[in-house]
Formats: sequence, structure tokens, C-alpha cells
Amino acid sequence: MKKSLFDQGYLDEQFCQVEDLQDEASPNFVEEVVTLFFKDSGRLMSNIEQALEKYPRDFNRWDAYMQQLKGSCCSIGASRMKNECMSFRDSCGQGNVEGCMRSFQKVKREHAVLRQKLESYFQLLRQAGPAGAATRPIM
Amino acid sequence: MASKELIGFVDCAGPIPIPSDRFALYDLEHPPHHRSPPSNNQPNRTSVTESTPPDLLPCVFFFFAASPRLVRGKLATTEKSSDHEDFLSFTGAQSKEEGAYPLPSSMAVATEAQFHVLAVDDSLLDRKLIERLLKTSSFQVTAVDSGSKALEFLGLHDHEESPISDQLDVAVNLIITDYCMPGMTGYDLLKKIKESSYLRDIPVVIMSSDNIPSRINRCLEEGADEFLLKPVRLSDMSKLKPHILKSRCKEHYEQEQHLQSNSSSNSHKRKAADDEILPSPIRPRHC
Repeated sequence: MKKSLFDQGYLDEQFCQVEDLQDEASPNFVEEVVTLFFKDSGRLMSNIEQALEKYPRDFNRWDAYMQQLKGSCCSIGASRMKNECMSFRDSCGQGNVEGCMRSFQKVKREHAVLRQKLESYFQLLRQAGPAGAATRPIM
Repeated sequence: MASKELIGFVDCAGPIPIPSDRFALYDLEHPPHHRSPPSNNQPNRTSVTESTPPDLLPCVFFFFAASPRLVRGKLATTEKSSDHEDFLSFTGAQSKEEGAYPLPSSMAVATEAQFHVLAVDDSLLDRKLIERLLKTSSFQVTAVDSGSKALEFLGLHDHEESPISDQLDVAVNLIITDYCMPGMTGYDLLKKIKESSYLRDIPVVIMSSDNIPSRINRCLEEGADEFLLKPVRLSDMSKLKPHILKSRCKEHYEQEQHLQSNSSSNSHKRKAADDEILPSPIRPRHC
């Protein structure tokens, strides 16, 4: 399942870097990081949603919020979501409100899909036990 | 590191007098095993009293004894000191036997102490990651969420040049900071650190997710020692220790120069170290 997450571009190499930081001293590190990511990104996305409504055409503000969200995506290797964040920022740069709105919908969609996939992934890991956690994807 | 115990913060009390036959002065350009035989029957060392070209900083290693004042926790003791081995490899010594000189046992504590890094990032996620990266690389870590909190931790408040005296218990060997932060950016923090005579010698590393050459140059020109692109990886951590060791060399060299210029003008020779009573200065934050 992990392989498909990588193959379909949901996750990239950075996710492996995060996994490498997990050890006996921090056995739940990856799941903690991912949980933190979804909490953090949820908050950032709701900031953006509010800003889109409350501050029309305030591209600087929208871009600043999206920069934070993009940063979080980069940190855990959420590749597809990161790409949508980048296209949102491009639209900000062009002053393209429509483009921003469309991109933001895509960001939300990728966020939801990634959450679902990672939840399944961690469930599988828990079922598989320590042996399952040790496998790395063949990239 | 064998021990996972909480590390205490150690105050470095200052250089302790070391008998001259008990320490080696390492010239980074000519590590011990490359040196040609000395012509003057002296043991294998370079004296800093000889005129040394200013661009060839000889690296004088004094091991600072840990003061008995620990703020909290206790110093971890390890059988294998990875920091000491790194220090030896940094000076080019091939082995502990070749590079190490017998040290008084009171100094063993200092060689096993971990370096302490102050990490600054407004993102909780990134703080968690950098903290893990640093701990995995055997650093002690304090993580704060803003530049102003960082300055507070370092004992420097907005309008004050000198640190609060009771904050001097904490030693920070390196500061790693995100660039984009609300309020005080990483660049602003860098500037404040470099403006402070107490903090300016602490190496500063900037992290940013944006690869903007003008930003990178600006930081480096302002005195940042390294610029890392996010996401930061484990392999980036190996870039940190050389900056810490380099700044310690520089600090010790400057102290040595200061001592020389204060010595009697009639004396051409430096007094043997065990005859001197070296001053205990107010320790800057970085030991």
C-alpha cells in the first residue's frame, strides 16, 4: 500500500526521511508527525478559507498563508498537495482570483484524500505489527 | 551515545590553567600526523607566540572544565564520546592515540558533553522535525517558536546589550532558525545576534523552504554560517558541528591573543601556564 502512495505521487522522498527518524526511542514518531500535520494544515486551511472570503483580492495575505501550508506539506513529503499549493501561489502572483479559488478546492481535495490514505496506512501498520513497519517502499 | 538521560546545561567557568606539556596546539593546516619533525627538540606543537600569519588560524584547544553549577538534570556520561572522536577527525588526527594527549580527569566531563543547539521555528511541525533531527545527531536541543523567545532564552532583551546575569547558566553552541517567521524573521534574529558582543560568535544557521539566491546572500553577508533549504534532512546535520568547532577555535585564539597583549612588556617569553592565574571572565553564552 505504501508503494502505491509513492507511485501515485501522494508522498515523496521526504516521507522516507521522516520514517528514518523513527526508532526505539521514538517508536511512534511518524504517526505523531502526520497527526500534527493534519492538525496544523487543517488550521491553516481554515485561515485561508476565511481570508478568501474576508479579504477579497488580498493576494499577499492569501499567498502568505499558503506559503505556510506549502511549507508543512514539504516537511512531510505530501507531494500532490504541495503541488496544488504551488499552483495557488502562482495564481496569487498573477492576480488571478478564479485560479486561486480553483486551486484552493484542489488543495482541499488532496488534503482529504491524503488524510484518508494515511489513516488506512497506519491502520495497516498497526495490524501488521513491527515487521510491517520495517518495510520500505521500492521506489 | 550510550546514555539517553536528560542532559543538564553546563556552565563553562572559563579556561583552567593547563601545564604546557599536557596539551597540544593543533594547527588545522598541519594536523599532527602531517607535521615535519620539529627542529627545536620541542614536543610536536606549534606555539601561538610565534608570529603566525593572521589568515592561518592555529587551533588552540583548551578543554573547559564544567562548572559544578548545573541548571537541571545531570550530565550524561558515555563510554564512547562521539563528539570527541568528531573533534579528532576534524583536526585530522588519525586516532585517539595519535591525537589525544593525556588530560586531567576533570576535563573528561567537557569532552563528553553534548553541544547545545537552539532551534527557532514558528511551525510546530517543523520544530518537532528539527528537534528529532538534532537529537538523532547527538545534539542537546532547545526549541522555541519565535525570534523574540530565542533572544529571551539567550538572555538578551530588546534594548539591552548585555545578558541578564542569572541567565548565564545556559550555554548555546549554535542557533538554527527558520527564515520566514511572523514578527521577527530569521534574518532579523541573525542581525540582533551579530550586533551583540555576547552572542555574535555563536554560529547561526538559517533554514528556508524558498531557494532565493538574494536571500541566501543577504544572510551569509550578515554573518550566517550556513543556509539550509527545507525540508532539512539528517545529512544536513553533519554540517553543523564544524561551525561549532570553528567558532570555539576562534574564541580560544582570540582569548590567547588577549592574554598575550596583557602580559608584561618586559617579558619576551610567555610564562608557563601553570604559573599563571588565568582570569575567570564572565562567560559568554557560548562555551
